[in-house]
Amino acid sequence: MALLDLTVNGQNVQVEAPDTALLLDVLRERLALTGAKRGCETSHCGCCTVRVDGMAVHSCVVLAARCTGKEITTVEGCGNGMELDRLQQSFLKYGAVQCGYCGPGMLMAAQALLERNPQPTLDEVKKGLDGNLCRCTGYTPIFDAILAYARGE
Amino acid sequence: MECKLIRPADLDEALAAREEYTEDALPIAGGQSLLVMMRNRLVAPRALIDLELLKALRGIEVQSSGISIGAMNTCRQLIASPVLGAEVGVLPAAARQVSSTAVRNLGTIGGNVCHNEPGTDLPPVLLALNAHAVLRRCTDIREVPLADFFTGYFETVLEPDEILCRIDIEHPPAGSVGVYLKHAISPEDLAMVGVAAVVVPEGTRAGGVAEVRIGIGGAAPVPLRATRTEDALKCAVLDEETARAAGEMAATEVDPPSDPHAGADYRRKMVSVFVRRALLQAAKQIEENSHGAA
Amino acid sequence: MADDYRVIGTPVVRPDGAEMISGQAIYGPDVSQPGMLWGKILRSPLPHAKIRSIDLEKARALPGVTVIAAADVPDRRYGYAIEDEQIFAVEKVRYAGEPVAAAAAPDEERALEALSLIDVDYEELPAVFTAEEAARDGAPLVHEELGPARSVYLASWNPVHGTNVIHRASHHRGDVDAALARADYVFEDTFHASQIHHAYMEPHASLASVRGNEVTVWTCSQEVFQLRTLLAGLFGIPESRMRVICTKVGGGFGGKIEPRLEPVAVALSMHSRWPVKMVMTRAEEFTAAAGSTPATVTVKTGVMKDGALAARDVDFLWDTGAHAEGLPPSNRAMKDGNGPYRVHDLRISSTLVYTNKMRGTQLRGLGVPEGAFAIESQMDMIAERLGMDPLELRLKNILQEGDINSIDDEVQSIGLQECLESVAKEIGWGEPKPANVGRGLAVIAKSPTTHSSISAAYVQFNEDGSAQVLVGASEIGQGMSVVMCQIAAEVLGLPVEAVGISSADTGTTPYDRGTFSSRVTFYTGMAVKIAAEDARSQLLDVASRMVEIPRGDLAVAEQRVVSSAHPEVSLAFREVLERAHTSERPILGRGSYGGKGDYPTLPHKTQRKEYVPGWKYAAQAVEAEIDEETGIIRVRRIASAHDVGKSLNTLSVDGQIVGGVVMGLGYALHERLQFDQGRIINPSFMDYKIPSSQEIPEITPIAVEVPLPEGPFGAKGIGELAIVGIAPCIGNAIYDALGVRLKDLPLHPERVLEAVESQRKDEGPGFRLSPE
Repeated sequence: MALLDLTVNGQNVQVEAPDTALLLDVLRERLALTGAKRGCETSHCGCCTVRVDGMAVHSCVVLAARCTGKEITTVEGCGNGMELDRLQQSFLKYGAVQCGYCGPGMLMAAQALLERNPQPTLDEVKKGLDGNLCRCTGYTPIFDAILAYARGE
Repeated sequence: MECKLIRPADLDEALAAREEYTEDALPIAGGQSLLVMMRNRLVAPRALIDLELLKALRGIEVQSSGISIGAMNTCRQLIASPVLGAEVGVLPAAARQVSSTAVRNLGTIGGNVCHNEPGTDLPPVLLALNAHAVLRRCTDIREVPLADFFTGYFETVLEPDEILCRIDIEHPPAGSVGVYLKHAISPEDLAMVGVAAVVVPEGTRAGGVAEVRIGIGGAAPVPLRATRTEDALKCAVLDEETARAAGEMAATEVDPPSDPHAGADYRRKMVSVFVRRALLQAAKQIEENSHGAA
Repeated sequence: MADDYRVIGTPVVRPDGAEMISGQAIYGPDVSQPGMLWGKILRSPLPHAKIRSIDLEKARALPGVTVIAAADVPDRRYGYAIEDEQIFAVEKVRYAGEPVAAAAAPDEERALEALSLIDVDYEELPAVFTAEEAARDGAPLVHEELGPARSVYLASWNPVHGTNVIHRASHHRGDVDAALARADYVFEDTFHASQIHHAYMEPHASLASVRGNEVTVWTCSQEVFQLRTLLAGLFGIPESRMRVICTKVGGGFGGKIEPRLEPVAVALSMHSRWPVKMVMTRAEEFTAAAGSTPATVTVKTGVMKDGALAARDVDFLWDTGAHAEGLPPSNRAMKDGNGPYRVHDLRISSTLVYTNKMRGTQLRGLGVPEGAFAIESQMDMIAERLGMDPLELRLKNILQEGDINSIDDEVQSIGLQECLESVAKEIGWGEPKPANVGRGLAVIAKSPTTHSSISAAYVQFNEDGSAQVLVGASEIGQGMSVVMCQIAAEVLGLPVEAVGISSADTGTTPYDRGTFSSRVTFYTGMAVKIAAEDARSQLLDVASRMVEIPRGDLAVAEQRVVSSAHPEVSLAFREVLERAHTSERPILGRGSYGGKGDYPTLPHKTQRKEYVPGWKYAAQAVEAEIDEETGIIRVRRIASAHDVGKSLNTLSVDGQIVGGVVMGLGYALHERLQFDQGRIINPSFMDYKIPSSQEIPEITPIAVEVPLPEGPFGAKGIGELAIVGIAPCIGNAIYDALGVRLKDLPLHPERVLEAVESQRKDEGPGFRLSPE
């Protein structure tokens, strides 16, 4: 077991976990941050996407121990209290959330994309979401939500 | 039993850990494949040796002999590297096609090569670039041509006390052009077949080539060079017909697997198609370059 | 009239969206209870084997671990389709993946460790892996004898005793053989639809808690009430002591209808006396949950020279795997197997067969996609032979208002022609196109749910004049919650934000058959509408006594009671509620809906029958580019037009269409569970590909509105049809581009290339002339 010093959504937390604990398991089972979802555990579905130092990563294939000293951002870090941020609002407005299970991961991937490329083309959006599967929406509403956000709508 | 995490601060420490644990521990680079294999209980090491902090495995250096790429460079870093972009654009172009954004953010060139999963995108390109693997153990260092590095499905020459430190590639010959074509249903998939071609023009004749190097992935237990085809293309003129014949010959050099993604026959046919397409694309680019230069 | 609605027909954003996009929604895998244990299942590695012995002792010796197998649970069979399953394998296993034992422990690792200590001694038995071999005389039997097994789904089922054929049925009208003999041409073709997986993003997850004599189960389920009945019966406790609460459901698509983890979780909790949580791994999902029910479909169609369909004989052979959950699709095919065509002389037969594989179950469109691939592919083959435009051939034969459909109903409220014409226009049908680009069309229909499709709802007013809807249907992502709120808001004169909803909890919400078969908008929607009208009427009663004006002169508008006859009347809901709650009684509107009359079950010719409302119709069109050298298909554009009756929420309707189309794209192009000797060899998202963001073409959803008088505000269901026609559309587009016909799904590049190459070898006709 190891005592990990993590910074999650701007807050410092200490958590005890097995040496090779995965970030996803630490977030969900030890910090009760269940916004990152368990979907496939093989790094294909992207439901567990969070950001580490700004980069979108699949937390099911990240060692929690490697995240000490880095900034971890999860969906719980978005918005302000009961208020959604603009990207979250755009997701809802365009119907990008159906069952919602892929939503937190999609949002994290979209944030990372928009940060390095604030004005993405449709193809760039598609590429930016290439690690996130969705079975409900057909993706189009998600593209629309991200593009509308980028346009400042 | 709980798996221990060892986080060596430098290469010597890491090599010492390798020597101590040998088969009982596995080195972890980006972890994008290894952690999945552990979750699926395909491997159950007693310890992981984390390579993250090793400076010796970082950086991309240009030397007179060639370019040396630290094994811990992520695909994201390969894509962003101005040096690679200028010198060997085909490598970052292939890195861009590896899996998904999240995996490219953490997955490394060293991990990719050592995992040796059929259909990954970097090995065919590295083969065509005449890459060498630089392997270290406590007491010695050895350089293995990448063509000899891969030994079977998910198997390489890496010994249990070794660490892959760097991948070295030669400076490509002047005027040469590299192309990587990936055949997959969707770009983030493993390639059913991936073909890299490095074509060195022979300046005097239109379409004339001095040398061609062809790396093929997904079409045999290991990524391989189509050496007979390469020999046949020495000093050839790359036209439609030569390229077609080269594709057909390359298809006889592979030993494709059948798996859920595609059957062996289909893969063999695709080798033929994509070797032809890669050669023609390279020829076209050479022609455009010569016009640009003129 | 449509313009008179305030909230119906607008793109209202779903009220449950905020908790989902903020990561706070609690899905199945997110539920926890103090002291809970984790449960894991030991599954059979073999497709068919006798269990000689199970040794649990070593596993049970681990501290803090509960281990159970067949001897520890009630010796009862269960299943909605046919009672052919037990919690754990008894005497033998019937598929690789079948539960044999289970363990509960403080964490997953420990539970898995316990499972690894269980010794099972198997004796492998001969097995059957395809419906064709399983249906043969003398084939090894998957179930020796089911005895008096019951079916919840069918009043009677028709097995062939002593074989693997579990159900055989046919629907027959007119004289098919004579009509085929009279036809100018007869086409006979066999098609095969593969087994796909629902691939919802959220894996199955259940948490069972037994406290005292009460059992509570939190689970991601499409049908909580059926599940309650089943679990109560299985464990021998009254339904009043069994509570099933639906968590947020991360996608269902038909895969979360039948029980999966719940019986094991309840059994583990009973034995351990702690709450037990279970979550499937993705590999378990692919190897042990369920897939669609694959079918081989042989279609014989007689056609006259002018293109009129003269007769049709369709034969379905379904592979249900080791459990008969393929019964609903196999049975439904008899209603839907002819597609939306006018054909008098008709025979549809359906045979459901057990094999030693993971079960097939219902999947979006249950039974319709398999038939439609066959029918709609063959329609293009017929058009080709007759030299007719495929669009023209369809326009000539599709059902129109007043026609008699396949099950002898008079067709009412059909917008199919408009759907077809609009997709043809959208896709540029008949316009010039580049080489290697093809276009394809399909028309599709799905009959209404006829199986005990009942729903109830409560609508009650809160103190402040806002309202609460209670329904028993599950929100699985389709947007049921927002639509139910809209219906109530429309009736009550409230803004949508002033309507809250609770759903799918057998302890608090009224009965509902559940979320399946595109039924909720119609059936639950009607229950909510009736309940809201009841609540409104009670509200006006109270108001009437307050203002001493007859109720008939009062109306609701903008959260007030008003009267056009008495303009001075304007009572805030809040005031009326205050009166009701202080000196009268709470307002509770009740709605209960069961469709219209008693619905027939097929074969229905012998039964008195009544028109069943709610057929769904759609047309789809695809433009695709095919690489002749690699067989890769790049779909460029898709148009999908649906007769939705009335689009209650335009955002949700578009979402259902586009989402269904993309699922159809996977079904058409690459999805397929692959087996080796009964074992699934692609149990991950790496090897079982679902469409990704990079494969998405331009998709145009089109809503055609021909109101259904019986539906809420004229609405019909929408959930399923969008998946159905994409495969035949693409098959037809491939033919249009390259002149090759593919009859097996998926249309994998390898198969496309094979077809191209074999066409180059021989150019055989795909039809035969009838005897002159």
